[in-house]
Amino acid sequence: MKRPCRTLVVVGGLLFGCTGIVLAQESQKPSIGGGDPYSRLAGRLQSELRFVTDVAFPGGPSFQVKIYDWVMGPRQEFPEFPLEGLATIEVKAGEVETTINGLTAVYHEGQYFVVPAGARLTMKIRPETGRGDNIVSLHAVVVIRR
Amino acid sequence: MLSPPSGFTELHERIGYSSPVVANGKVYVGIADNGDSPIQRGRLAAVDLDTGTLAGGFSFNSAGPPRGGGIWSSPAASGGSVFVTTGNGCRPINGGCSSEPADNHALSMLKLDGTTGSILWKLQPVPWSRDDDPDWAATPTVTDATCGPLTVATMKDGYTHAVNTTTGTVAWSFPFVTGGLPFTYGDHGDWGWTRPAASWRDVIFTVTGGFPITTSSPTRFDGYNRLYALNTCATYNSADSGRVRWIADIPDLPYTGQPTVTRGIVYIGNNAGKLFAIADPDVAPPAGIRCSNPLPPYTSIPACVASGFEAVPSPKILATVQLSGRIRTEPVLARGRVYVSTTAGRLHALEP
Repeated sequence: MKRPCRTLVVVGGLLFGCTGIVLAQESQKPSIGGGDPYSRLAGRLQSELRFVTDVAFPGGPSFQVKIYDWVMGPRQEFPEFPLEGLATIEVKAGEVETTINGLTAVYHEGQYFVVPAGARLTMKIRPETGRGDNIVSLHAVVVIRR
Repeated sequence: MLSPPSGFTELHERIGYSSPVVANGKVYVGIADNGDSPIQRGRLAAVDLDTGTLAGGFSFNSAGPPRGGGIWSSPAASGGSVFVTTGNGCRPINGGCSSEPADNHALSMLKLDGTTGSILWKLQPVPWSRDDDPDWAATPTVTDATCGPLTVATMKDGYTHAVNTTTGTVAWSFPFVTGGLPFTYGDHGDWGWTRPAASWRDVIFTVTGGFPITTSSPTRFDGYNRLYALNTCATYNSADSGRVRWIADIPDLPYTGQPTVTRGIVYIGNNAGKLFAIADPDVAPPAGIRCSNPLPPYTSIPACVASGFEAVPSPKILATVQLSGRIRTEPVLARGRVYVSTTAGRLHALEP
């Protein structure tokens, strides 16, 4: 239980207790195109929430799945990129340096990386990229355990 | 990142990758920015050849104000006109534009009046709303084909577009664009097809996306390591029948691969420092046959043809020469020699 709670605190940027977060999330209606947790990064990151759905398994866990498109501006660094859950991220264009729980790697167009729920993700657009010219386009599928 | 103080505009224009072109008594050179941070207002400068001062009466800005459309590539000149391609436009994340700038000629190929800089025609395949940084970074190739004068260039998103040089109408795109240009679908990103094409007879040689560019990753980037020969005068049709003349597999081409051609022999260098000499099947028998779509499901010729693609030659690779460093520029041909520069800081002169 500890990990998901911490993730949600990071996403919302809020210092709620665990129970409060669950209630807050339950009261939220998924909306496309607005109200996403990335609005505070506007100007550095273009974020489009493309799709939201709830997935439940009878007698098992239930999830919310969100699909985002992100475009990151040149030379930006996001030391703690907010993620709501387990994320599979495809680099659609450009080149991005990631650090996931202390492990640094560089990804470029056509490559994928997975960020476990609760992991700390740093993303950086290097000034002199090997590919592209400092704008990075990402496509993310985020699975949020409810 | 530090932002300029309020009331100031950050300027860092540069002549980055644009080699100058001399024509019409002027020297033309493109002006762009350094890494879109923020994006600058692209323009083409014309300098009087005799005086070295900016030519009076000539003006071309790619967009705005405020920003967008850097001219990264070298201009081309033909018949009193100048041809340019322009980079991405001003967007919220690279210049603070929440809406499309006025007079937005970013992501375009343009024919300009060589005296005034006025626009004679413009092709903008990717509209502002779909601008995911597919700069048009390849210099246009102006060619007199038997089917008419054409201006051809491959965009960073892996599509190659050919425009009638006289009328400005689109002759063809490769692969075929459903519904015509501008695009109303698909992703268009910075995918590295940045180098100009070469032309010989009615053939265009270019590193381009090919059919796989219409798929999703990772197959979308199949074209990174292939050189295509395209039939310039094939009729534009939705199946792209007749367009692909041959395909050569050349490793290590991403963000490079600038071919040059003489007498049907194409020279191209790669990121591993190898120079390849490839023979068009008109001058040497091909090495084999393959599908016009290189993806695995179509490897067998029956499967290829049954899927609507065509069997095309694999050209003969006449020579592969290891040089001193990465080859990021175009080999130059003169008096029977090939001159190649490398990132190791060396210039090589090769003889057959």
